[in-house]
Amino acid sequence: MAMVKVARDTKMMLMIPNAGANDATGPLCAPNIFRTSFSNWQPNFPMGKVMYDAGHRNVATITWRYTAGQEQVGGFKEGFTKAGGKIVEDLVLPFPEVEFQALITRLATLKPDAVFAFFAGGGAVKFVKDYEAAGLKRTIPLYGSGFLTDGTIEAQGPSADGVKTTLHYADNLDNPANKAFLEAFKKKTSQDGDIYAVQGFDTAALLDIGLAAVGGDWAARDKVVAAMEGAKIDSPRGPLSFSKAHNPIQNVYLREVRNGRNEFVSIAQDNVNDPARGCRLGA
Amino acid sequence: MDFLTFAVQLLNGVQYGLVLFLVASGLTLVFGILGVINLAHGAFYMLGAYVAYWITSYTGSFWLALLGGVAIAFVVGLLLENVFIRRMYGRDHLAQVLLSFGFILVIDEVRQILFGKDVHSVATPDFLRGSIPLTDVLSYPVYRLAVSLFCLAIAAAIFFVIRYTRIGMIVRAGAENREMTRALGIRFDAVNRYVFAVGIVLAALGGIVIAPISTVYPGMGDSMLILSFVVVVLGGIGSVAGAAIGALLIGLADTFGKVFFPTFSSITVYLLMALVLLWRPNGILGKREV
Repeated sequence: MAMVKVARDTKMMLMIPNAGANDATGPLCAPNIFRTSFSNWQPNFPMGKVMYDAGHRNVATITWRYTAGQEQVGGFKEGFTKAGGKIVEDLVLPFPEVEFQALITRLATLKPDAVFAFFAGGGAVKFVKDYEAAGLKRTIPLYGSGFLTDGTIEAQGPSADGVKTTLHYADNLDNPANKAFLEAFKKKTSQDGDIYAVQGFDTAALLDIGLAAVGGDWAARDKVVAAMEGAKIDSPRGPLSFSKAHNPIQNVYLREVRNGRNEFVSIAQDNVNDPARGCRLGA
Repeated sequence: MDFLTFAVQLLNGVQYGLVLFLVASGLTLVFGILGVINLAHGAFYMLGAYVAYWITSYTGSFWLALLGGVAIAFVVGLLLENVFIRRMYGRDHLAQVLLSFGFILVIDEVRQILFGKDVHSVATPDFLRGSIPLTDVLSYPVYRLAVSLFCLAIAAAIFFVIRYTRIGMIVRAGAENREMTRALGIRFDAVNRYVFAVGIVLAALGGIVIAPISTVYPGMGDSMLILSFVVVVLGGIGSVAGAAIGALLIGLADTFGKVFFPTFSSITVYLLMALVLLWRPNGILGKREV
């Protein structure tokens, strides 16, 4: 967010290929700031309806107490309560602590219909493993933001099987752009592509559109911005365009962990547009 | 909170405390007996976990990882003491902080080169898999119980060595009055080397043993380091028994803090430390005279 503030002041072009802080395309949005990843709200709002439709009425949430955690869970809560669900309790622990036992025991006491969790990285691996080791996964289904199982499945092993998450990408999306991307990525890096790779790829694609529109003349900045605003990219993640606040408008997919990857189940919601609360661009 | 939940949370707190003790005991030995502040203690904990991952991914055997990790940590400890730590005795703590901070940076880079930044997991040994059902919803992993027993065993071993063996006697004498002990003809070079190596081994052992539960990731040493220092300060510098009490208190405070005061849970541990230090400035079992 510090970078966003500096970019706003200096009018330097800032491309955000991963950070999700709502404010970057919210109150701090600017013509020279583009995001090709997601807002923390975006992949989680559709999960609210998904979990409600699956029959869960009382859900507990758990995350770290920091901005990303609050915003991601916040997006879910908004969607879930809008669909008619009830949040039993919001569990939080300080970031970046990974001692979950106390809260997992609490979840067992609460006995919600399901649990929605947001963690990422090492914490995500440990939480899913701890959740399964405590036997909770058998009786209280675990759902989460896509980051709970992205880049972490290998370490999580079988404990992640069956965990459903929503994200603006799924590992086996069946569109030609994704197939081509995954193949090329594997060839070039001998690693499997994931959402982080796709976001980077799309950032470059967006810049390319901007530069192509002005024939490489970076000084014609307004034209570059206009071209990028109107960009429609055929991304590995599906159709990608940009909102007035310069946040992606993209599909959010429901995925389930199967066969060691996040497999596409259904489109949770298509063309999700972050409400960009507080942004005054194009208003 | 019903009794069963309370009992389970108690178990959670004690188990967490026992692991904290395992790691902090190494720190208190090095700090208390050698008088050296080793900020890299958390980095060795992390290194232990990564070595466990490395050995299990090649051999598939957790026991080999345990033995191998301990052996590697011991040798590394001996080498580091001989080359670097030896020059730090009696010196200003700031110099020791600088040196050990340098260790952290080097260890992080080495880990980065050898293993990268990814998160890894270590498989639980087969016969320790499975969970014991506690309620209709909640089970307790057998491995966590095994880890608790292991930490208790290590605690007993440390206690036994310090109380009932010759080397333990030398270590205690050296901590109380080094000059006099030296005057009595005891040479400390070897003792210091072994104590430091044991300190490193205890940190690495913590990492190895916790790897199947905690997963192996780059930042794992940082929070453990801070908590280890809190345990050591709380229990009294140089006192292993104090570290045990301190660790259990912190394990319980952290666990119940998370449940009863979620908004303030991040400060329950430090609040506890502050309160104890007000009551006993040298820690619970710390030496009264400096």
